[in-house]
Amino acid sequence: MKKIISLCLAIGLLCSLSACNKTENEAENVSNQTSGASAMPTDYTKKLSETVDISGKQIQGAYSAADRLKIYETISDLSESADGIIRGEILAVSYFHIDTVAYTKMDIKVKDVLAGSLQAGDQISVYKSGGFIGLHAYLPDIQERVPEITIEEIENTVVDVSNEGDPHPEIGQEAVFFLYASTEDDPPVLSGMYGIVGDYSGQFTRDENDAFSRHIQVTPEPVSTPSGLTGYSLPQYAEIDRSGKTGADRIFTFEELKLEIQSA
Amino acid sequence: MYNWTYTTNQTPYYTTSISCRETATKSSGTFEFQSGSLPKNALAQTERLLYQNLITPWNQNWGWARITLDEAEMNTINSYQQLGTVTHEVGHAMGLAHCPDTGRIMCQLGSGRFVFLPQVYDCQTVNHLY
Repeated sequence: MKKIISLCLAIGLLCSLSACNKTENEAENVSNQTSGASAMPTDYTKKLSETVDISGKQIQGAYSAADRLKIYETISDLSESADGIIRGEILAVSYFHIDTVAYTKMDIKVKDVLAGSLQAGDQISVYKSGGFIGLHAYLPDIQERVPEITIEEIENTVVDVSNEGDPHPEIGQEAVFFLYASTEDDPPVLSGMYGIVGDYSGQFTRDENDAFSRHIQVTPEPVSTPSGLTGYSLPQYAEIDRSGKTGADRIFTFEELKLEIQSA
Repeated sequence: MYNWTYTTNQTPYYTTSISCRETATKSSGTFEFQSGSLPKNALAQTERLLYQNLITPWNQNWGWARITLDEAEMNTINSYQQLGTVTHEVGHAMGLAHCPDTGRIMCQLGSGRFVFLPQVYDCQTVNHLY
C-alpha cells in the first residue's frame, strides 16, 4: 500500500472552517444533477419528492463515517432529545443533497404517536444522511480530476453514499422514529422537515417478525500486531450480531419499545 | 495530518510510516477537506471513494477521501476537541474504524473521547495497515 499520501489542501482546512462556507445552501433533486458537465444553476422549483431514477445508471459507491457529538445508547437518551416519537409507514423515498452531502427524504404516514404533538394520520417528511447523488453534484470538478471522463459517463453515474452501512429505506417499511423538528438555523431546504435523533440511531425498523431494531455499526475485530493488541481497522463485513446487545441496540417488540419510551 | 505522520504525544514517542505532501493539483489529491451541512449532532464525516467502483472498504483500498466539517457543530466544541475531530477523520481516511476505548483518537467524541492526538495504539494500527 502506499506509504506516501499526497494531501490536497487546495480547499484547505482553515478555509473549510471559515471562508469557504457558502452563504446559500443549495439543494435540488438528484435526478437533475447529472444533466450536464458544467455547473448548473440551482432550480428551487424542483420538487424534492421526485425520486432519482437509477435504472440504467452506473452506481458508484462511497462509504462515510462521522464523528458525533452525542451517542444515544438508550431509549431514554433518544427520548430526551426527541420533539416527537412516532410509528410510521414509509410512503415514498427520494434523495437530495446540500452541496456535496447526500441526504434521503422519506414521506411518512403517522400510524401511532408515542410522544409529541403529531397526530395519527398526519403525513410528514423526514430526512437522514446518506443516499444517492449524481456524480456531477458529488464531485462538481470531476472533469478536472479525471480528464478522461466523458460527459456521458458523468450523466450516467450516480453515487450511492452509505452512511456507516445504514441500509436505504424502502417504501412500505414501518419504523418507530425519534424525531426533531428543523429549526431556522438549518439549511432552508430542510424547513418543515424532521430529522432523526442520532440519524440512524433513532430509527427502529420493523422486520418480518414484527420486531423493531435500529442499525448499528458492525463492530470491527481488533487488529493484532507483533506488539500485541492494537486498534481497530475498518470492519470485516459481517451480519450484525445483536446477541448480548443492550440498551437501544437490542431488539424490541413494539410494546416493549412503547413501554421504555413511556418510562423514559 | 502531521499529527499522524511522526509521533504521538506520549512517551515513548511512536512513529508511523505515513508521510504527506501538499499538492495544488486536484487530480493528484488523496485527502481533501471541505465545509458542509451535516445532520444535527454530526461534527464531521469522511467519505471514501474509489473512482468507478462500488467501495467496500473492508476488502479493497480506495483512491480518495473527502472530509466534511460542519462549521456550526464544530463551533460548539473547544479547540482541542476540534483538533481531535479532524485527527479522528484523518484516521478514517487512512482506514481506521471507530473504537470504543475513550483513550484512543478513533473513539467518537460523543462516546467520551478525551484525547485529541493519535495515541500509540492508533499509530500501531496505521502501521499495521500500511
